[in-house]
Amino acid sequence: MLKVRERIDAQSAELVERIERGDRDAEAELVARYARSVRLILLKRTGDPAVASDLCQDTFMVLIRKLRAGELRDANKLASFINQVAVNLSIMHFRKERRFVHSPDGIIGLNTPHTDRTGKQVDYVTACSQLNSALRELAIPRDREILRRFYLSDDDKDVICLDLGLTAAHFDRVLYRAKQRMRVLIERHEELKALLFGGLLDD
Amino acid sequence: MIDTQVMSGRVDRYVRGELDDSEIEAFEAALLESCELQDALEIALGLQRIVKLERTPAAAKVIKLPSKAAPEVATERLRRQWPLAASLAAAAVVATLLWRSETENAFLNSRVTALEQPVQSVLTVPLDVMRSFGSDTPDVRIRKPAGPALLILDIEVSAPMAGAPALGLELHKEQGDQILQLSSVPDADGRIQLALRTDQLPDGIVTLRISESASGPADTRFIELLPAGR
Repeated sequence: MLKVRERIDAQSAELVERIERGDRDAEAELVARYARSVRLILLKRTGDPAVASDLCQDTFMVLIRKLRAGELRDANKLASFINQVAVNLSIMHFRKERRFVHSPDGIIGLNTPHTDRTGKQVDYVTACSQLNSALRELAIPRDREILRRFYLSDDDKDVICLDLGLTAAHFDRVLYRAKQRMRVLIERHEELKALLFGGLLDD
Repeated sequence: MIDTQVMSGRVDRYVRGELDDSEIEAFEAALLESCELQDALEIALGLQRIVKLERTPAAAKVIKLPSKAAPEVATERLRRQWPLAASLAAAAVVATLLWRSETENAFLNSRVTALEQPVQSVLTVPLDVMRSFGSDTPDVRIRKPAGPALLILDIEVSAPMAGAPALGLELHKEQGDQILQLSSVPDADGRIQLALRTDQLPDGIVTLRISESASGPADTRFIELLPAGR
């Protein structure tokens, strides 16, 4: 474990050093190495693939500028630095969103530009068909109820088990099976992944 | 190698928002270096998203790919703050006089004079960074107030330009005719304020171009100006 950590630190240090020297290939490597994880973090924080995509672009633009300027003192802390930039941008995004609330004292409000989107619509019939097909493959209806309560309603595992008469082991098996099927669905259906994540996690 | 069950539990807690701040920080730092964690998180987020979509009423279950709408800015009651706004605008314009040629200075002088004329209202509109999809989908739609008014655009500069020592601003009519050209310095928050008299602005789409140099890449914003009244 320590050797893995040391190897990662050495790679990070080398990458940072090359970026400071103006190596454009190193900047591309930085993006290739960390973009997916940054997108996931921003997707979790914003809940909106389009916003996450915008913020991800901003994160790397800010990051590269800071790295070129030598603002990262300890190259071993590259991952934390990247995370800090991404998180700060997401916080700024939410601060902006609050400014757009219309207030009664006459300050001009603006609907939040990132949530009030009208997008290019995937064909409705195709989208519904793919989604329904994926849901049927994912889990039986009763198991989907477990997933809904766990991932959407944030119900505790114990409460769900009590309400539905399940053992903890049964609950764990449902979750494990669903995740395995989700993995297969995402790997097999590129379009489903695009539908779920708005193209954010497409390579 | 992270223990699979422990990892799965941690991912679920992260997705459900059950980690405290220090745990989140540690998790996200680990995520950045671990493909396994990224895979697990992608699956958990996908599960969350798919069950969320299942709950969506059928009529609303249309998957939207990223784009943007142009929300209309309502102009209701506006505060009378033209002396402050005019001073701000005049100060900004005067500061840029130092950077411009003789011809441009004459134009700016006339702008300062126009800005100091009394106005009935001041409309401040934030104009934040968005992905622009062209003039067919303006970044913002603004209804001009009735009567002489000052429009202050509170512009967020895109991240790459926020650290620039000076930026060029150009405002053009839809047909390309230039309305305004000056330079400005972003403040500490990466924002620029631009003050304009609404009675000197055309109705329809105007284009605001922000760049570090005339020939360099530009950040373009599309603003639709609607006539007062409706």
